[in-house]
Amino acid sequence: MDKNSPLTESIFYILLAVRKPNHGYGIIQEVEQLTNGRVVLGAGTLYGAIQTLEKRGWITIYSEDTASRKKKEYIVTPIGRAAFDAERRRLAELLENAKIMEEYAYENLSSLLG
Amino acid sequence: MKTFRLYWDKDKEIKWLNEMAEQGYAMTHFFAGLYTFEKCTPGEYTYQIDFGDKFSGVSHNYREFMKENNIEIVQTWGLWIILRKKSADGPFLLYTDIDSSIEHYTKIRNKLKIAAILELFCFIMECIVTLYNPYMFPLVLLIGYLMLVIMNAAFKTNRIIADLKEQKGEKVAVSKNPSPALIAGLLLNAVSCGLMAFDTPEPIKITFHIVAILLMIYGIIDTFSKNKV
Repeated sequence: MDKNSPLTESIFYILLAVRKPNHGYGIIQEVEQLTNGRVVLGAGTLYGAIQTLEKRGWITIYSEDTASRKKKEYIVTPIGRAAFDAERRRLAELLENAKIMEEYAYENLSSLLG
Repeated sequence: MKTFRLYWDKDKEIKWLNEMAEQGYAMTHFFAGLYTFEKCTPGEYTYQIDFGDKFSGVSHNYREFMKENNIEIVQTWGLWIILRKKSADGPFLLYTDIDSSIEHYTKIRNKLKIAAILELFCFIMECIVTLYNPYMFPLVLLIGYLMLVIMNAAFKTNRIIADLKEQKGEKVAVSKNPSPALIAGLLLNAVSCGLMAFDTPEPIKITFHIVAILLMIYGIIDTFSKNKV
């Protein structure tokens, strides 16, 4: 799994969007909303990512009802969920360590003020 | 309206198709370089080109996926997939992050490389045929020209990939390999030296030599410009 870490922004948001059953267009829309329009997934990017994630076993097809022309939905698997959590811990560590920067600035300021 | 064009650079092709759509001509059909256009409201469609994995059109999965995203597959031609979307449905980009763009262009480059090697093979075969039948000579020139065009497209794609990797902050390995054109030139030079031994008409010998020299010059320039990055 090391090779796949850290997750790309696209993969991170796709995994998030399929926490519940979601289809291609739904994923694009949700990611766009979550990021206030900053991340708009291209159809080629999303298609490729879905193929990769399916191959890795991180997501799986939830439903495919071709008779009623229902769209193909995907959902995250436990392996995908584990990868997401690992990424989340990595990001939390980054944020935690980022505080050091502020603390240093604060200490400097207080020593200046005496 | 029908127009004949040959494109090796998909970015240029997209630009052209979108310019045509902007002028009110929507591309609807493609066959061996012949583009068919129909009248449309100016700017009605935005075109994009994708690159598939197999020669026999696209998978059912791909088709369904694109349809779901309001994207129409206009034409597949070998590995090329020409797509369009109504401009009213929003902007149309296929690859929106660096990783997937790198993957996309790598796929294109690898196929161009295979095509260039095949052309080189055909070229050498034709050269040999020309020894016995000088009338085949124009074909040699044509294949040689095509080979150069494909090689050039492969190098350009290589540079796009290198730029993308640099953007990503990845260290781009500077290629110290000589350009394939240089190798092709040297090979052809060997062939033309071999021709001396046979009783070959003079113009053919000379042209072989000229093509070999041109290839070598191009190869040297390309090798240096690649290693300068």
